[in-house]
Amino acid sequence: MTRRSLLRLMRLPLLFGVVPVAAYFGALAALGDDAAGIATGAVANASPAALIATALALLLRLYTVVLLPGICAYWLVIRLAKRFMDP
Amino acid sequence: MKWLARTVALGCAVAVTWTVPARLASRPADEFFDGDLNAVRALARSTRTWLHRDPATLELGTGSPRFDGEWYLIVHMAAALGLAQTAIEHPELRREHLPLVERALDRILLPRGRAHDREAWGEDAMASLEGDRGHLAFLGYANLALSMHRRLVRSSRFAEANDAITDGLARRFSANPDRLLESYPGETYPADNAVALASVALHDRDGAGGRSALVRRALGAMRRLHVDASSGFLFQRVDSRTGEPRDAARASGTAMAAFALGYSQPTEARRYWRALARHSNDVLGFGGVREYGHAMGSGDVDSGGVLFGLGVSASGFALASARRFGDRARFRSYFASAWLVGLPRERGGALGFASGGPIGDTLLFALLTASRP
Repeated sequence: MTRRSLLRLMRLPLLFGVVPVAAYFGALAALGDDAAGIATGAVANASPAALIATALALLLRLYTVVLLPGICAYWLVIRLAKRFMDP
Repeated sequence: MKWLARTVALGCAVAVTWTVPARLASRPADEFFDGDLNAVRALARSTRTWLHRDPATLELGTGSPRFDGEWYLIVHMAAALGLAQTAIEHPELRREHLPLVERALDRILLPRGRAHDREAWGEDAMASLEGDRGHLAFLGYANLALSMHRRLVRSSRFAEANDAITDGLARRFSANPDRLLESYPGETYPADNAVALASVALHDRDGAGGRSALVRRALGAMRRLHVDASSGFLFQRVDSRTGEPRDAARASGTAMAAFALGYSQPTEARRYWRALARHSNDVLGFGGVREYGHAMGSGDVDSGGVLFGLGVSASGFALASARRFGDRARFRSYFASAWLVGLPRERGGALGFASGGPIGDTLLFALLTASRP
């Protein structure tokens, strides 16, 4: 397998898996102590930047924990089917 | 054949989404359910971080001075309860936790701890303990933390305040055990009364105060008069004069009552826990308690967000009862939700929840480590 074909193969996992996971941890780290209390509704004193970053982190977490495993399963089955149907 | 591959893949994706995420999110739950020392320490460190911050810089961000005041009190009550109960469950933590419990109590007893109550009543709760006004927006919560500290140290500089508040509350309840006390003028909440009664019973845990009959009678009246027969939930608010419901029977107040009563009145707490368990539900395995039972509603500051009918606050408080009454499956399912939306993060060995702020960190500490009867 050439480097090019490997990159092609990994393009989707990178885009839909690695990037969101990295972005989630990045957003969490960037927030520091400034996270807005989105879960408790205590957002009155939060800056717009903190509010956006916390909401983004929450969306990324929902995506990576709830949707990503299913997306991975879908991708794996399609890859396997391609391999067996089109050797 | 492409359509077949896509259909199988879609089926797999649905099956995986149905089973895997909640399992992933509930993986650490057993550590907390079993009281793993390292897990407890990580949560305690996060609470310690808040206690080391200058209380003047503690921003609660509710947008209302009254709710900010209530949350300031709850943050420190939860910190004191969490630290004290883990010191009891793990005696090796006692030396480290006791000064922190006392720091939390000192902050509760600062004027800021009862400013919201004073603002509403026009008098100071601690200076009017001989009076007959309820002051339950401060007295019950503060006294629950003080009574818990008493389980660690029988005699201390806090004993006087604990005795005085307990006497004041017992006297008010004994004037008419069938009638609830007010939290604010014209505002009566059964859950606040449950917390106050729990604090009196915890103070008299060894029966020394001789107030167990009073507590039993008052809790019996609460069950008889202020519990909705169909859901088993406490009415969130009742009329101060007539006792008629002024809000729906709701899970958030009931779950908080069960949590507080669990410290000293396990039989009573178990009754409320059964109602909460009956109204538990889950979405893809992420569990919670339906805030309005079979009905629907949009929630408020007490319930936190309500999503798919499940209340944030009720589901959080239900964690404590699930642990106390040994319901591992429900504990895991509530935990999965908290772990999902709480945005957990570990820094320097401290486990906190980015989307909960100080109230999220300290409450989850107290709830995830709630001591068993």
